[in-house]
Amino acid sequence: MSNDSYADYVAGAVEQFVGDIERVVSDRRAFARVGLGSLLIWVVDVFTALVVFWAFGEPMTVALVAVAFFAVSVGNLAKVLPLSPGGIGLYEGAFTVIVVGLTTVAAPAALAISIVDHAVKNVVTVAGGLVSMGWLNVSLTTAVEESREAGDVDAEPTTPD
Amino acid sequence: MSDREVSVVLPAYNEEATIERTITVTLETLASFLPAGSFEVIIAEDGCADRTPEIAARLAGEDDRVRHCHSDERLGRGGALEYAFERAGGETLVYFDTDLATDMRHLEELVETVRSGEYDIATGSRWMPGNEADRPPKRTVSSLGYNWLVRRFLQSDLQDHQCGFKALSREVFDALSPHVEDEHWFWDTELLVRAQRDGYRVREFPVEWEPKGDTKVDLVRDVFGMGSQILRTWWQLSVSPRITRRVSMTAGSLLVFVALALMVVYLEPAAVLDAIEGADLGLVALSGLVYLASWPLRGLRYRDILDRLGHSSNTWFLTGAIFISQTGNLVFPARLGDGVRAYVVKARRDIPYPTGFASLAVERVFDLLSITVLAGTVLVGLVATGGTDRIAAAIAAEVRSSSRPGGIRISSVVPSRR
Repeated sequence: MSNDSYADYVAGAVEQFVGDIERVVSDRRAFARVGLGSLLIWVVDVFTALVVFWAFGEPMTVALVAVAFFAVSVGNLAKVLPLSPGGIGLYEGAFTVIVVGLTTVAAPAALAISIVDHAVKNVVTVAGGLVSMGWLNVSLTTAVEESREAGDVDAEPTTPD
Repeated sequence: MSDREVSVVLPAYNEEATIERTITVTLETLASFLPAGSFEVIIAEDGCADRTPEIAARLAGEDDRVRHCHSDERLGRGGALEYAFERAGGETLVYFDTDLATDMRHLEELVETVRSGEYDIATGSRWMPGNEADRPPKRTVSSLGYNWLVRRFLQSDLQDHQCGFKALSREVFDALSPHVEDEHWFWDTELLVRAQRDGYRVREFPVEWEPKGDTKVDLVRDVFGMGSQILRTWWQLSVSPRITRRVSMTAGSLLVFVALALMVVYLEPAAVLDAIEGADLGLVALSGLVYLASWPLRGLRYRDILDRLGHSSNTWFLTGAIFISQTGNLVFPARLGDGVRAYVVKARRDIPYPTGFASLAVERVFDLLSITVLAGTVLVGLVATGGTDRIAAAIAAEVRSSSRPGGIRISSVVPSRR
């Protein structure tokens, strides 16, 4: 059943979404800053994985660096599907298949590396999260409840300020 | 109005050609079995573009048993029925299609079934033994399929849900109409399904039915529209009450468990554990420090985005906010943590929710863009050197050699072919 008010809502939300992205993208300097910043963030993410490879005694080669870039990127793309908390399992799976397929690293070692790499990242995240919760005095459960309600309110089409 | 016992609502949408005769026939039929003054006929005229409103207004003026219920905007069939029933005076509420496709000799049975208090709802059926329906095959197939789906998915016992010939008590209407969400053609079905769920007494009886030319029914709308409504109602009644946060968490974790278990089928868990134990702990700790270095960069990037959206803030505060939301994403499924960040910046820095959510969307777009660019760049290199074939070969080999401990080894490294 086509529902016009729903269509309006979707159109409004898309408009706001596109409008806000436009505000960042339309300004060349802002786009460059945010774009380069994002690339840098992910490069550091890949470096983290490379240090883990190193910890497992894998020799650093150009090929391994390239594969690490690919494995971390695809692993994170796999995490986009919100199937498990933190994408645990999805990341490891994608990472392992790529590393095994493209390097001389044995399958058990590849899986071990993906598990340690992801675990290190999650431990750092949770540790940082706990410190920040104490510092900013935020309760995670309260935040989830409040933001869910806010998400419902936000469903009303609003114009960006 | 209090002396009206029976209110008949006739949903009318552009019916200028038939409405007058329909009203006359309806009044005559009702008068044949009901005491004078105990019934009313309401024309639920639904944002018509033709002369129906004028005709309805004139008929209402000429006969005090006729009322005209007008709406400027199109409410939809279900919406128009609800609107009219809310304004009707009777304890027994009746409606049928204005094309009089159902033989009017069944009207007495329809009204009396509910008026007697024997049943809460009565509905005509074109699909019961003893009925006289005669219809084109295209509609036969879609109607039978539709009713089968409703019985299957929505646990209804009825043969025909969409027959435009129904009566219900005021009590049922008051109890159920706030819960019926559809405002169009699915309204009938939803009402019948919810009534059965709530234990109301529903009677279905065979009627003689003759399709009229233009019935404003089309196959695409029936299949997609009705299909999506069946799914929506099924979700609301049968699935959604059972999905609590615990269930979705369990399902997600179970999925991961299955994935890990599948991995274990192909890989020796002991070999994986051995590999983990063999790792240099100092270097693992170093990797943690390297990763930590990316966090202020996230804070800085978030500051840039918010700055562009007109809110200046502090990089360290924003780094903390991202830490908390990402922790939320780890603890809760379905990216519930995303909203946490909007909450933190709202609660601590008064940044409005829409901006909080929008900035997050911007960030996600850039993240996806970055990892796609990174993955894409390597992929182009791989395709150029024929490396992708090796991934496919590796997956195939892994499946074949799964019994061999230690998994598989690929002898050559990608760029060595160059």
